[in-house]
Amino acid sequence: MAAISKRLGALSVFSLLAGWAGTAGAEMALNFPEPAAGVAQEIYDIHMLTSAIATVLLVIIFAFVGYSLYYHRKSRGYRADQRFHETWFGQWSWIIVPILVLGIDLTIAGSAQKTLEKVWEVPKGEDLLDVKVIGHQWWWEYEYLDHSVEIDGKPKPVRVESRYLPEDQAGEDTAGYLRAVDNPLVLPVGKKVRFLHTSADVLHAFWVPELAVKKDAIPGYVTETWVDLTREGRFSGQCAELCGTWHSRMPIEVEVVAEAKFKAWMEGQKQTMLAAAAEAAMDKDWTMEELMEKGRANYNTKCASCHQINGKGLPPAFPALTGGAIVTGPIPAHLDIVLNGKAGTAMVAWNTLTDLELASIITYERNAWGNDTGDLVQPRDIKAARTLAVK
Amino acid sequence: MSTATIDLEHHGEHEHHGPPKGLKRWLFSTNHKDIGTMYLIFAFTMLFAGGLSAMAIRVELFLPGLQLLEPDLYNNLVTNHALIMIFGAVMPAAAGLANWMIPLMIGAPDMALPRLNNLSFWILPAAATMLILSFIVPFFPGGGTQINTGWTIYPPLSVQVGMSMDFLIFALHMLGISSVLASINIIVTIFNMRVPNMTMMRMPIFVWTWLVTAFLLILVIPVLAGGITMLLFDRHFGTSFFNAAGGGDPVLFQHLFWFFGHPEVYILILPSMGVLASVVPTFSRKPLFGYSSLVGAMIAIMIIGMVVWAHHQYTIGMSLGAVSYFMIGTIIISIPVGLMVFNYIATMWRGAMTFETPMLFAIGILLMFSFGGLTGIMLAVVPADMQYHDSMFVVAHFHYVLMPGAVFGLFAGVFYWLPKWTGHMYDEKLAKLFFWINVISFNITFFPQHFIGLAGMPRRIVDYHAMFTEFNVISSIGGIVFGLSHLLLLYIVIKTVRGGKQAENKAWEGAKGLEWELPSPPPFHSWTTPPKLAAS
Amino acid sequence: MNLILMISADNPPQRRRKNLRLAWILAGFALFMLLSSIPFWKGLFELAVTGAQ
Repeated sequence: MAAISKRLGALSVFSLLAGWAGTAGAEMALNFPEPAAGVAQEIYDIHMLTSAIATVLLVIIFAFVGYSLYYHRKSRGYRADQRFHETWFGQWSWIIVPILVLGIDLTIAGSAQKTLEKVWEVPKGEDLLDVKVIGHQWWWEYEYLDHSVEIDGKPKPVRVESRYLPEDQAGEDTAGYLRAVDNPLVLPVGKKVRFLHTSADVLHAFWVPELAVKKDAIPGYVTETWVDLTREGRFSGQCAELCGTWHSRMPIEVEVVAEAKFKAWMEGQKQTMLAAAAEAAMDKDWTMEELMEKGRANYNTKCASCHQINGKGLPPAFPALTGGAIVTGPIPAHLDIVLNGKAGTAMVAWNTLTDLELASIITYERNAWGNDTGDLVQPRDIKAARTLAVK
Repeated sequence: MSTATIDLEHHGEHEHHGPPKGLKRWLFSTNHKDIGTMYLIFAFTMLFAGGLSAMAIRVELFLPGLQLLEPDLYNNLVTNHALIMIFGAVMPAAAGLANWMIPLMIGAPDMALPRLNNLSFWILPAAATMLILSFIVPFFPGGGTQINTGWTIYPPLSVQVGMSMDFLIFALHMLGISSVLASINIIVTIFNMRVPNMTMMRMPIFVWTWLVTAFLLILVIPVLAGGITMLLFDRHFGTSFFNAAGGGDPVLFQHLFWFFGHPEVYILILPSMGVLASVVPTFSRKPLFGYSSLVGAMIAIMIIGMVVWAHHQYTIGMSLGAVSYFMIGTIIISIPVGLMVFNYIATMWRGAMTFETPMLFAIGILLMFSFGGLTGIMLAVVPADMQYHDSMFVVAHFHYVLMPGAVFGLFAGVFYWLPKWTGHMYDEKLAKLFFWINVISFNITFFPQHFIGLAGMPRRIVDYHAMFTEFNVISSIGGIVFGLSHLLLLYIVIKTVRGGKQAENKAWEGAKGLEWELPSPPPFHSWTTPPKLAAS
Repeated sequence: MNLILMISADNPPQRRRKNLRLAWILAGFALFMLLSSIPFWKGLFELAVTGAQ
């Protein structure tokens, strides 16, 4: 909030006037940000063209109305021209005006169509980096479909979970209030990227102004957009389709880096994934301390946006877990709601998490915030519950 | 129409009886004037309800951070603001004008179906109660979650919402039934109740706009009803119309909604454009320019307006061919709309203008509606819309279209006909003060929203990044003044109802039309003997 | 009920019939739009989606 109070300090009447005059335009952000992709540049150009045409038309309309308001008033003694509609202009304006407007329309539509054909469809037969962007309530999941690691003998795409970071957890070097995320989407500069959008629950929309291409994430659909990244940098955006309570806390951070840096980052991601998979596959009995520590971390990233860090939830939308009937009741019911979700609510099925992650979260929920059931849930219990669920 | 000569000698003032007294006068009323008055009072009440929610929204957005409202309450207010303003304020106010003015303008003794008229009004308060209940219910224990979907109630989010969504769906059904019944009544009145010799092409443009609007309502409201019924079934009866997991399609709802939603925009705007056709010639002292091209433009708007709905959904991933079609169709709408605005400006041109309050509002409409229309063309351009879509730029655009296009037109109509309705002239000085405060604060509120939208602020967010702070502060200050300014309007209207300078039959020097041949205020039963209109 | 009849404008029977007939036609039209909205628009939508691919 420090940044906000600083900005408010600058909000004196004087700086407001200066802002209106346009001298502070760069800081106040009056227009699209500088494009970071070729398609975004195309979109920027068509936006500037249509704005310019609109401005000229507006000036013409204002000029005619202004002239009329000044000269054709009774107080100036102007006598109404009762036969104006009988002049040649009055006789033919019904066809002249539509033709003029049609001309303007065709000018706009023609250039728009050209731009549209360049940006709308993903170029065919080219080597694109495929990134699947999955919207969740209220976080983003990115899957690099072209990069995978082998886990349990099956290739798994490299995936990144990207969540909003509260201001007190975000470091200094972040995109700022409401824009900080734990893991950004890293992309290589100079590369064509195809985004495949879908959603796990409700509608979302992926929007980064520097990349300009916005597309809805719709459950059951895969929609696509593409960008040709032209410059390095860190670009912020956020979800643009109302998706429920924390719609305003669904930031997107895209980090466009040099190809070499991207490769190094990707290698690091793969190693992390392999290490996590190896840990999850270990057949061992975890102690309460180990599970509670992992559980706290997992809970705070994956569950706390709804059920809150303190477990108190936000009733009635998000029930409290402290002393809750499910988390202090029988374990199978608890496993069932976490694995399968609850239909008709924001509680989705969390069965994509690993057994270890689920075991730690459930153990944490059953013992944190004074729930103290003393229950210890091991990964193999989760595995058993999963096979039960399949039946 | 305007050259009508009226034989007043055959118009006797033989009233059968005056209005009944007390509550029964209103509850059982079948008199078009009383029902029109009730519509207007209802709309005015709803204007304040919707305005309060808008002001709460602007107060929350004054600064970044969550100060006043929980996110779901904010979303609930966003939903309710839209629905109350559209279904509670603008449509009933336009229906109020129709009830009052159409019979007077076409020389009919009343609406064609007076008891249906009573029904279509009295559904409204019940529906409004349901709508407000949908807002209030979540505050009670066991009331479920708040409506956090926006007025578009897109599934699957709207399936997550608790029982308040059912209240909302029920309210929408009732509001829809009321609108369809009122539309049927208006069409029948216009077709069957005109005085002899008033051909279709001699009707005042206001009557024409309502004819087109009523047809639009009958065409599109049932489609909304179908869509929300399917939504209700998805919520409670296990169907999967819109549920992807069950083989349904969430996008289908969007198509059904916007097949209603886009013509709805013209439903809101057209009656106000009809008011302009009365106001502008009166204060320009010059006949309306291009009567038949206005009629043609309206019919074109109705037809084209019904086939371009998907420009509200450019981001759903349509094929190139589909978006091209919707883009070009949408841009083409600027032809009839442009012709309409042109005709009004040409009516002013070489007129002898005076600037009473209705005329001030009319000029404000022409300037600001043109501006909103031009940003509309920008939004129609698909590639640029990829950036504008769901940003504050859209919010700025549709408020520039709907505030001047619909609401200022209603204000112009109210000031224009208030002397006729009440028999008193309103306080011109206060009314002009209201106009200036209203129009300036409107621009302070919505103009900055173009910039924050372009810079990347999405709409419908409760909290925003600090880079958008300055313009939101300006916008909120404007919004509060704008909201409060309507109290002045309330004061002016009450003052006029209670007294003021006696209005003449023809309250305005340049006014033309049958309504000005009646006394101000008109008798309880007017045109019981149809006026005689000379054959053209 | 009497009250309603008393204060309603009295249309001549012929015009009343004409009014009611038109009103019922319009109501039927609205009902048609409602009923067609479900199967018709769903079909059209499916046609549009499959046609686009």
